[in-house]
Amino acid sequence: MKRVLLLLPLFACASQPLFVDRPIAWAVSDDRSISEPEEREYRRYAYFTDLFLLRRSTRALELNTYQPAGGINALEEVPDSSWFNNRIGVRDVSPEEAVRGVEKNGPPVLPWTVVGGKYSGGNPGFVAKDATGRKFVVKFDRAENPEQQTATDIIVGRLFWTLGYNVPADYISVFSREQITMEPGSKIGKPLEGKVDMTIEDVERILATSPKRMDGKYRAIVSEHLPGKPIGGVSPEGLREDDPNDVIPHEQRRELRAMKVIGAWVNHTDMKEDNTFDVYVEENGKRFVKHYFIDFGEAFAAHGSEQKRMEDGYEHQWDWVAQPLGFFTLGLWVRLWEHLEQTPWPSVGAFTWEHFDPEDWHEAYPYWPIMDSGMEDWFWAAKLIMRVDQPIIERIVQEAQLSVPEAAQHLVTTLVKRRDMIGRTYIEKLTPLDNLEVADGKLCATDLGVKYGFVNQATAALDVIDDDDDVVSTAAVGTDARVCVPAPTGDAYTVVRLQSRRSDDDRPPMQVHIKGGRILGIVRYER
Amino acid sequence: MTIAPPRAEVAEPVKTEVFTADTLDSRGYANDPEGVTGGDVALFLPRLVFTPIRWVLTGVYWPVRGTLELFEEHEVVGHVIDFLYNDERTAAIVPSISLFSKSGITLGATAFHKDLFGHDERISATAKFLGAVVQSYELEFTANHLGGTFLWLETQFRYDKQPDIRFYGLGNPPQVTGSPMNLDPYAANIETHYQQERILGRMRVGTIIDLGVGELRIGGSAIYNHRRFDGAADSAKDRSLAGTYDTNRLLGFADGTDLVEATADLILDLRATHAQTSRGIYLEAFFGGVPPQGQYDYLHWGAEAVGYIDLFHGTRVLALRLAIEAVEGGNDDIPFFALPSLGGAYRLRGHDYDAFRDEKSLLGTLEYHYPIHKILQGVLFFDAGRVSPDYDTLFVGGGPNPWRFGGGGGLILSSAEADILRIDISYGDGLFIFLSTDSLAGSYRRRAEKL
Repeated sequence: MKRVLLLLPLFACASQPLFVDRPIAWAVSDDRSISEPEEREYRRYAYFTDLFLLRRSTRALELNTYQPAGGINALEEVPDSSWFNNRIGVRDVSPEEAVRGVEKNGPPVLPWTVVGGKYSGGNPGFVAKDATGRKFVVKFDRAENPEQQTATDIIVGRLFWTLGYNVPADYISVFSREQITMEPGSKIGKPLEGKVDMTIEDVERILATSPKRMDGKYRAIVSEHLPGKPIGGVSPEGLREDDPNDVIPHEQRRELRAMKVIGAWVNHTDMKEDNTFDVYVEENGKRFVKHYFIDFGEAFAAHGSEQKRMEDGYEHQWDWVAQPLGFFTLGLWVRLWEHLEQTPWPSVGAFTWEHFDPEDWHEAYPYWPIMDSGMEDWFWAAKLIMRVDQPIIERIVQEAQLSVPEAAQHLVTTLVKRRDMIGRTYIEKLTPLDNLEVADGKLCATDLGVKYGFVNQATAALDVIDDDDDVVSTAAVGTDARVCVPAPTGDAYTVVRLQSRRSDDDRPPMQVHIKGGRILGIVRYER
Repeated sequence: MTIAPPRAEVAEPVKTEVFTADTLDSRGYANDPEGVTGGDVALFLPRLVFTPIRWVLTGVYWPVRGTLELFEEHEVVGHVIDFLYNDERTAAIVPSISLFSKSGITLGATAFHKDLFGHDERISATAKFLGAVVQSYELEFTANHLGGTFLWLETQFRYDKQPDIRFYGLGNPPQVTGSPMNLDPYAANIETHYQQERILGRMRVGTIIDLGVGELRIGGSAIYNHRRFDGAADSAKDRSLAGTYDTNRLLGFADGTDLVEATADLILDLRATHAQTSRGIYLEAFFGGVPPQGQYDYLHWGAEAVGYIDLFHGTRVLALRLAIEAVEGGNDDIPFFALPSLGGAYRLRGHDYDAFRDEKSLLGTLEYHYPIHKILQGVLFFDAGRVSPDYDTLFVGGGPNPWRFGGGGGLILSSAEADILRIDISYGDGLFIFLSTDSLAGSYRRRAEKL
């Protein structure tokens, strides 16, 4: 084999990215102490009007081209930050850790003492202390869909934690009416009345709208109060101006852009500012803002069930493409979601892999990080969720304590199948090399397409190409999905262009920047 | 019975020391590879053009957004609903709007209580102004099971003053132009205008039989109508009826009428839902008439059937309607306004209200509904109808009683319970636009409008 690698001299091309010679950054310093930020108020009228009309139109007129994700490291991975903590992306996570990792203090201890009411959000609930004095938000299922939102919240919350996101510790709690008392002086915020004294009748009213189990008990999702001071949601665009650590515009954050793929996996359509949460925390002597995703109860098909929208996950709530097209095609265009059917289980709704097209998935409310996302962001997210294996999924679904085993099995099957459909869609869109390393004069990597069985190992190969895209050398992919090409020698800064070859066609080239036998960085997709 | 899985303590592994970068420098670029791209160059001019437009839009949006924020902060919508509705949400004052391109906008409001005695008894008071009516006041009470009994009761009392009603002659006369006078209504068709003052009293009593798959309503109605007419047009530019037609040949016009009509009524409602109906049948029939009162004495009957055919998944629906109405009596027994008519937003779209009148009318409708959004449907429709002095020429043949056609499309905005707003654009004898927040369900309600 001809040992030719393309050696590019430093600064040969003005737009060619080049990396400094330093270790890969697996953490960023966005936990510097800051003074307490203002609480950000969520104004949903203005928020939704912006999403669907006002900001939507001015954004369209900006004619923005793709902006690469910010805050990623030289390997195009997301480093640890106040937003994200690498877990399954960089190490093995056991099924038990996937379930318990988020639990700092363990489940609540009955009985409940109600200390306040909760009127915001889709479902009413209350705030209560458990027997040990820890505070929880207690929410119930909708009467029409027992177990749906409580199970969904448990499963999706733990999947998000496993992937690396900050989420609250949520638990299923089953209790009887007798296990609820009320603390005198509790307040409840009511529409038009503001905060008023809460009465036991308020609790009864909340319980009356909640489904009862066969044994007469109530099943609730209880979410432990996050440590620190709540300061509102995360704006889907721009920065929190009073947080000096917040320097990457949110629409450019890869971990938020990844919601295009992760959201599609679990059908988390209720993606909006209200379901994110900033908390001013004190950790290791530093006071800074930590960013959470919360309220997963409307993922899977629960948001569609609540809104009675089968198109949930397929179209925005108001979709400037689908709905005008529906008008002008006079009903002749049968949309994909119209083939969708409810599953037999109210706890699951219409969550299935059938008629699922990852690329055509839409959140209910346009989310700017998703709107601005691109191929590299989707690849990263697909790579991440492909690491969540079936035992982890099974264990997490088990934690949701669904009373119908078939419903639980359906969720497992659906999550596995949707994960694979996503992987097949996005991983094979680029040259899917991972775990790159230089050793013994070779540059080796894992071909994810082969590893996950998306392509036949026998038909997969890796080409080294020059800057005219001519093939310089080719290496076969092993049965273990590893593939190696000669690594550049010497101390010169070298860019190796690689391209996965399949029997049908080639994947777009990627770059690996090497100096002195070390990988300095990669460019996953040459734009 | 669910079994909670066993619990085990799991701690997140402690991370080994990693290289921590400044957030903005996490990528570790030695240069600035972003730079100006080819796309940026290509888009430079369009961006330049769009920039002032964006500024203007942002300037326009700013107060909109500010207003919305104020609305939310002060719970304006909640306060408005709270003001309009009672605490139990059983009583309210709701505004209404309707528009017919030839009549203009009619604004109104209805105050109602929908559960007066605890069995869905509804009482309402409505006032409307402008447009087709200059003033209209109505009191209505309806109960499907009055006080929880078998009794179905509807009562209605209305006063209205209509300054501009169009009249186009009777039967199917040829159109004429110019400034004719003293025309025979059966001999010439020309748009004229007149005014009407009316008092309507109506009571319907019956019972509702639950069929499991729908309901059957059987009852009887007594309807009192006091009408007084003025042949003058409302504006100087409009041609008046009195100045154009020989009003002596319009029975009841000169002196007005005070008539009582009695009918037996039957309604069979087998629709799956009353909003976004996808399948089922709605059938309504009445038979009765005006017993001898002065010179007036005639029979009046009608029937309307609507079938909904689900073409696909309950979202593409074809609705077929057939409606017939007739009066039976001598030429000198039936006042002109009692003649069945076609035209307007419900009966033969694409033509003005009451554009065609004669002793018999027949109407067929083909209407196709398709989905746009969960709460929005598109509609395409085609209406065909004719009026005729007798049954022979109503059903067959052409001749002097031609079929009239109208078609168009529109949008229906619905909630889960009812249609909220309908906009139709139709073309037949000209272009007509119709918009209404009034309930469109139930043709018997519309018949009451026409009484």
